[in-house]
Amino acid sequence: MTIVGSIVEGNSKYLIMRERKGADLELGELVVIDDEKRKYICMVYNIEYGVLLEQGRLYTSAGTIIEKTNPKLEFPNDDLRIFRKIYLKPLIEIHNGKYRSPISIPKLFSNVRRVEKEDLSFIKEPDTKVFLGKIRSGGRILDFDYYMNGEEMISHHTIIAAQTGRGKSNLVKVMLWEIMNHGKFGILLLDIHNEYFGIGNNKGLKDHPNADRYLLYYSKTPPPGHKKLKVSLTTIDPEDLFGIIELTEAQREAISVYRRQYKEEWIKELMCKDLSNIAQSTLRSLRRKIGNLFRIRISDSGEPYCEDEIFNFEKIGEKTIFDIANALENGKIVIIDGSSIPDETGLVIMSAIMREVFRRYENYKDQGILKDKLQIGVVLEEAPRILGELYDKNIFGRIAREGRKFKIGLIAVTQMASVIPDEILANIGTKIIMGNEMKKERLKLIENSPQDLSDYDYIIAGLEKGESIVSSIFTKFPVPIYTPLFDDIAKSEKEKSEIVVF
Amino acid sequence: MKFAHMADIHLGATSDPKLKELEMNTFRKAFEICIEEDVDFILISGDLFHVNIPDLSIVKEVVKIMKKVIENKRKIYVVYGSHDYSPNAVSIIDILEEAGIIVRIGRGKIEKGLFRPEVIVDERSNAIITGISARKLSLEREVFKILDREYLSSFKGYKIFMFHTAIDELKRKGEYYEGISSTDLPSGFDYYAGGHIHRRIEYGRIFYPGPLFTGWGVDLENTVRGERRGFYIIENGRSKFIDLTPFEGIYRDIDVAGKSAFEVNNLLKEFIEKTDVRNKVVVLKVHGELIRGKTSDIDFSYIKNEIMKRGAIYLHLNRSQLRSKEYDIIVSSESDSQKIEEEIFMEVIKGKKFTEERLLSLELPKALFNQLKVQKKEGEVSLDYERRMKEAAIEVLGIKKLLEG
Repeated sequence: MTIVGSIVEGNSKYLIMRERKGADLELGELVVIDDEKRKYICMVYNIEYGVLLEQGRLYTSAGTIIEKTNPKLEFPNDDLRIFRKIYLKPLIEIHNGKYRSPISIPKLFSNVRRVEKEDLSFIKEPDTKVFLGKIRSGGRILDFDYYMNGEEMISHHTIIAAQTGRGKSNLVKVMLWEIMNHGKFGILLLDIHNEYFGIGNNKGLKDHPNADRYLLYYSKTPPPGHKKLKVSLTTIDPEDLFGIIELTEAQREAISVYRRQYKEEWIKELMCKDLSNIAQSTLRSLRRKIGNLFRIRISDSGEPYCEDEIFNFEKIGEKTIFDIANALENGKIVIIDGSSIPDETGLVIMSAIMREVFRRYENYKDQGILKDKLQIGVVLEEAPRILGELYDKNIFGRIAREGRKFKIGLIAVTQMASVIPDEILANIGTKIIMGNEMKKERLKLIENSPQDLSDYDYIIAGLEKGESIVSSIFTKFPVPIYTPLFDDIAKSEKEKSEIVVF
Repeated sequence: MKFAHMADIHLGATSDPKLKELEMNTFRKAFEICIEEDVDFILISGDLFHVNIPDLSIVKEVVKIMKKVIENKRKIYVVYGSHDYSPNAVSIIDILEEAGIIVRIGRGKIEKGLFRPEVIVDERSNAIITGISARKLSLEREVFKILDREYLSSFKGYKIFMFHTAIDELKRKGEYYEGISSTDLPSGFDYYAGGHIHRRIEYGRIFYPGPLFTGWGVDLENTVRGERRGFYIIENGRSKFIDLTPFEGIYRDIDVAGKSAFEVNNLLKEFIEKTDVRNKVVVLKVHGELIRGKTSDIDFSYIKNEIMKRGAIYLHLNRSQLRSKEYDIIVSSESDSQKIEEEIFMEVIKGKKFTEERLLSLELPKALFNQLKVQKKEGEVSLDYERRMKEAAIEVLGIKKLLEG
């Protein structure tokens, strides 16, 4: 074990070590301080020069070098008066085999070394594990798989926040791949770029060995063996629109009137029948909004019809919402291909499904059988308004606030965490923070993280693709991880399955 | 090219003599229309019979009707339905095929992990016919997954695909069967002849005619409530639905919530008085929780007799959701299941007034249950079994004289 430094200063919030020459520690690296009885795992969060010389001598020396004067005033490499000061944030204290947030500090001059896989043995694999990646020490990836307990992670909600191109979708795919190994969670996902399933030769969740059992794919144009997305508009409730599209109070009231009067035929009647107690201007605007949402047109005979293949006024797809809710209850991952429909339309379908799931799980709770039901999660991707300004009106905001009591959780994937209200962010138990150059976004996440991330601002800004910090109410410290490429995981799984044992 | 497409005929499903007669008449009429219309062939997309080995008197009649088509040099193509298929016994469909009455579609072989269904060319019309047979519990869905689509696409001409499987996106509320997606069907066919969904559906090129006749359960209710029954004739790609709805019906939904048994009796009597039931099938759905009296206080046998006396074809009484408030939860202290049942029985009849003492003891119900446990003998037809059971039950109850008198 190579010693990389020695503790020379600090307090319970931070420690400073003098770095051994040539150790070259990096920001974000994990180090271990071995005390007599205790072991501390710390993270490098700042690096400074340490110089025990007058500043004038340093400037003079630099001048002789760059101006090429003689004699040069240089310092030998082994000059003990020049070194690097490494600022360490204590993350974990291990004492008698137990680990906890630090309540003590190591002795002065304690040796510091780089973390090794064995130092992390206190992190145990949970039963319903969800693989997030390998633990990372700075840029060095350790051969240590990091899993979170899926039940905790999903029930208490998770946010995956990053700027575009930092690997958010890859991480979600990796998580879902693992979930498909055990089938213990039902996950609903609106795939706005149609990238999760794996169309054609692209790798995707369809390549999982359990895809037949645990994956359902709904699309307007599915490959054989997969589900055609058909939704009867009779299964859409006004509640599914509220908080997804913007509606005035008058429009909401008008929708409620149609719903009361025409029951499940409310959309059809709203599109073609005037009611005397609703203003024409309200109706016109409402018809335009709903018409655009479901691509409704009016025939020459005055009958409304859906131009899109997905929706209809007949009873085609009358059980789609019900069937998907069933699949989720049975631990399946349901992907809805949202690439060919407007985002809002996809969200309305998601809303209808989650409304049905919520209704069922509320009943199960009333009957006292909720504990026997599987955890359900919904992945909400790039929908900042839904959890932002509209959150108090839609089902997703309700899930964020109350879902935990009903075993329903959110997995929000976003690059705009700053628009999510504190009330929602505070309810999200796990934050997976990936690289982000926007200070506003970083600060919002840092302020709302379960652990103190006040020293992580610069580190988060510098995270590379695939790198992230997992800050959770279920972890004792912010865990730095690297998530491998999904294609590599899918490939290695395929290779494993091709090995024939004689 | 002109052909007929029927499905879900379920011959033998009904036990009522009048409905049985109507059932066979409808079937006969359908075939007579096919002959009149001079169709090139007939497709039956599963569940021709209600069970895999039906009553032979029904089979005899079916053969008689079908033979007229055969003699006319037309073929009848059939796939197994979930009812007339048996995984471990010969089905009547196999026997009809051996006898040259029908041609079974849906055979095939696995080649390189893919299922290649046998493809048959109808000699008269050159139509290319293939399909997938049903299994119990919709297990044929697995076959769709390994269907050799490329092989099927190699055939050129007017192509028909027969199947007896539900399509998920066509399922309605309250329909719980497992289905396939429409994308599971092989592409490029001109006509997809479906069966299994008991509703008439036209969905692109996919057609479900629904049942030809409905003598039982929800189907009967739906017919009475206005759903039309029949089959398709397809001529040069154009479909025509032949309506064979065999009866007119009356549907009455009675919610007894908040009413006493006495009031319900009056309601039912009033319904009988005011309704012309002649030559109609009557469906009475009585549901809800009585506030006073027991469900047995409602005199359904009187209602039935009256309705039938007034010339109805048949009365279908749905009272599965009828409840009485007077049944409280009974907590049993026993652990043995038989003793628990005995205790509950005694608790329920406690305090009831019977003119005969024997009705208050356990002996009679025990004897009746023992009798009802007796199974069908090998080779015994359903009718004989039913008759034997009825006679034995009457004997145990000691009501023979009462019934005769």
